[in-house]
Amino acid sequence: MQPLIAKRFRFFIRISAFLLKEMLEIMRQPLLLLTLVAGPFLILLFFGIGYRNDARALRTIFVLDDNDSAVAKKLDEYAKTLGPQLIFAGKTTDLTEAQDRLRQGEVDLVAQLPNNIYNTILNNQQAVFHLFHNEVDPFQVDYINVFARVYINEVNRRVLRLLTSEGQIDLSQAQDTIDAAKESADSLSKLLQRCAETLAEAGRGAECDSNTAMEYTQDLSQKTDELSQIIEQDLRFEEALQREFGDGESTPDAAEDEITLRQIRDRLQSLERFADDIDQYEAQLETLTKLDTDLDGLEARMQDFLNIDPNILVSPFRSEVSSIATVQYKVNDFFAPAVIVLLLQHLILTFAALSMVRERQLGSMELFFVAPLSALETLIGKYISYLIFGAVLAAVLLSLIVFGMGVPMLGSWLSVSLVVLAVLFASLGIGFIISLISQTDTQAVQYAMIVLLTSVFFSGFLLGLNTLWQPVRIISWTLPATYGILLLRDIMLRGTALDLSIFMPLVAFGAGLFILAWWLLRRSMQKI
Amino acid sequence: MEAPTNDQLVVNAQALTKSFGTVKVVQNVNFELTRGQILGLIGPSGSGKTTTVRMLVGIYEPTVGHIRVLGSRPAKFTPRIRERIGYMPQQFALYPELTVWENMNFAASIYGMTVRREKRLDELLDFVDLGPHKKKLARNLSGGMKRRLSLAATLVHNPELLFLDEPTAGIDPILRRRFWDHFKMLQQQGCTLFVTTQYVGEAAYCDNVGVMANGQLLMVESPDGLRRRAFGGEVVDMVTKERLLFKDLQQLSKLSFVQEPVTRLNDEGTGLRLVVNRASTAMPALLEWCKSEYITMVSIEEYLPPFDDVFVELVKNAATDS
Repeated sequence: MQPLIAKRFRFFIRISAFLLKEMLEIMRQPLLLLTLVAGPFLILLFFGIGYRNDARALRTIFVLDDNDSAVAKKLDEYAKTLGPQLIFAGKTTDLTEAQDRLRQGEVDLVAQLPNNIYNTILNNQQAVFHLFHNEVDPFQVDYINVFARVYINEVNRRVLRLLTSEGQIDLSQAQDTIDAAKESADSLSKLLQRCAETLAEAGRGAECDSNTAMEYTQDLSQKTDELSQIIEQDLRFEEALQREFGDGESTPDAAEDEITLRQIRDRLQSLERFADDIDQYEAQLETLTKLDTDLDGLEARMQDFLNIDPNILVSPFRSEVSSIATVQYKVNDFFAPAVIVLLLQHLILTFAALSMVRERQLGSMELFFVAPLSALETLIGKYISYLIFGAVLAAVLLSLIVFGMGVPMLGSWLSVSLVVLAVLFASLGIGFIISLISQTDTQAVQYAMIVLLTSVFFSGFLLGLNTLWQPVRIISWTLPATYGILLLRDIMLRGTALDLSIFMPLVAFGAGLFILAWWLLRRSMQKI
Repeated sequence: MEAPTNDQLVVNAQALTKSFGTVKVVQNVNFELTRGQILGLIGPSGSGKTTTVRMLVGIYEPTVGHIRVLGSRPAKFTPRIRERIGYMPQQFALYPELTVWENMNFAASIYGMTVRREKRLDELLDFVDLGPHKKKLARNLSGGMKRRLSLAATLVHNPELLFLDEPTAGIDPILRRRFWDHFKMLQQQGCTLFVTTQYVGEAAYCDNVGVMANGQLLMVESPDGLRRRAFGGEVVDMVTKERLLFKDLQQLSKLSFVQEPVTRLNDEGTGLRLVVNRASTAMPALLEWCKSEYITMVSIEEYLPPFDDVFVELVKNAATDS
């Protein structure tokens, strides 16, 4: 029993050898420590200060056929008012000259206006704006494509608004028709009243001025036809609106308009029979009164339509986006957890990658071979020392970004600590494997840099994982940073609990790497 | 000579050969090291000394041959056996960013020594005269101090068998002498030492010396034995009053205890160097011969050639033999 306890005790003493040694070696480099703590903090700080989330404004020169054409005149007005991202850099009739200016970087975009726009549209074709750029960055090319789409939509919207306004002007002319119809109805009404009075005084058989009455009736019918044609535009618009967005229910106003027009037509038909049956004047008078009421109703509906802003008619929808989160995030908030994870992975991985190589270069591996020291003791000792160092570094960095820069910490610190330890554990595995397969420290640093570069592109640090093709995401899941960034963003920014479906694979991944590193170290410590 | 018992035999190497690829670095090396002895392995750089040590401590597996160290194969050393062995590699293998004390502490920890180790560490640092420097960073130590620190770290767990690979390389003669004083003290304390060196003169401190050249162990002999092997016997220098003539030299050569050739020591022809079977018996016989030939002897003494010359002779002889 005693030797077993002594053996166990020696196991821990040997582990502690590396624990102290590694920590002391790091602590003896204060400049390195300062860089490790201040570096990431300053990177984030300057990034936060310097980053501008504004859409880039493009200096745009326009190329057109004729500087004096109607389009050229309109261009001045449009180009300067389309939006802040379009900086009007002039117009020219020479495409080559404009493209030269683009090559020299004097402008960002050349927009060639279509020729003969009116005839092109009349020929049932779209008029095309040709945009030329000189970008090599695919993101900027995408931006220009979006820019082109947004601004062409704006041009189209303005044209549509203009046409809609013209339609409203037409509709406003219906007011005169209504007034004229009401006047005709009023005259007819007065004529009928006179007829009624004549009949009352002279008794049945007295003559009424039926010709004049017929003229009034025909005039009223003509006005109603005109009105009907104009109102139908309004009705069609309302019908379409109701069909698309009315949830299947008829809009009361639209239905009312339709009924009124039909009633007006019916009533006019009954009035046209007036000439044949002048004696029914009382009924006709009543019809006329109702007709007058119908015209009032139509007038009111028409006014409603005229009151609609043309902008709303051509763009009936707009969007408003709100987050369900309780905190308003800044760009720094989003990147801070990822920076911490990536930095910890890189630092710890590099320390571990250099660790065994340096022991070999220094010659201390020879001492380890001869000493009663196992690969497991060596590896555990080094793992623990770097884990402690990484954890302290993480604590300082997280405190700085949370309490110094105000990055939200909505989740629990315990969850964050577990994630950090798991990321460090897995990163150490990669680092030690690099260390055990590298011959020189230069080689080890190069491998570490490759892992860093891979992490920048594949871990979700810059681009979301959803932007990667599914099979390529296998690379992402071989990087501890991928797990760490996902987990830390969720915990810190969303306040969610530790997602075990991501956390446990990270721990298992780290354990696998530890076993592989152990096997490699054992093999290299058995003999050279 | 009596064969050592198993208990006395600490290292036994038989037909050791080590190849890296097609290059044979060590070829057919045989030697034994008995308890309490200092065995020196002397040879020029690249002669295979370090490879031999590394095979003995288990860093390299021999390509051919057998090794027993403390009764065990180095590849199968148990932690118990490792605790009985101390190894000082050729280069400084400790940590420049740690202090002398911290390096000692590290060495003590990897050997699993208990935390109550201050006394032992202090003793060792005093032993190598580094006591006043224990708070110094290793990177600020001189070359000699680094070697002493390495030695102290090697001794930290009180090993009974020491393998020291060129412990005196690159340090001044005074310090080299002090190192050998330390080794002698360790020997007196019961340690067995296997020491490699490029300095042929250090052979004098060893009980037995192995001479290595081109990966081969030419011989293992005592320091005196080496001289005898190098020159074919012991060397005697004599100076006479009269010039010795050619016929005198011919007569001397014919004496049974004198080995050829007889060489002159000066232009006057009065000084001679002779290789004899045994100096102690040859010198009185030479005095008698001078008297019988009416030659006045001015001086006669045994000459101990420096080991550098011994080594050159041995290597030359080996080349001639092969």
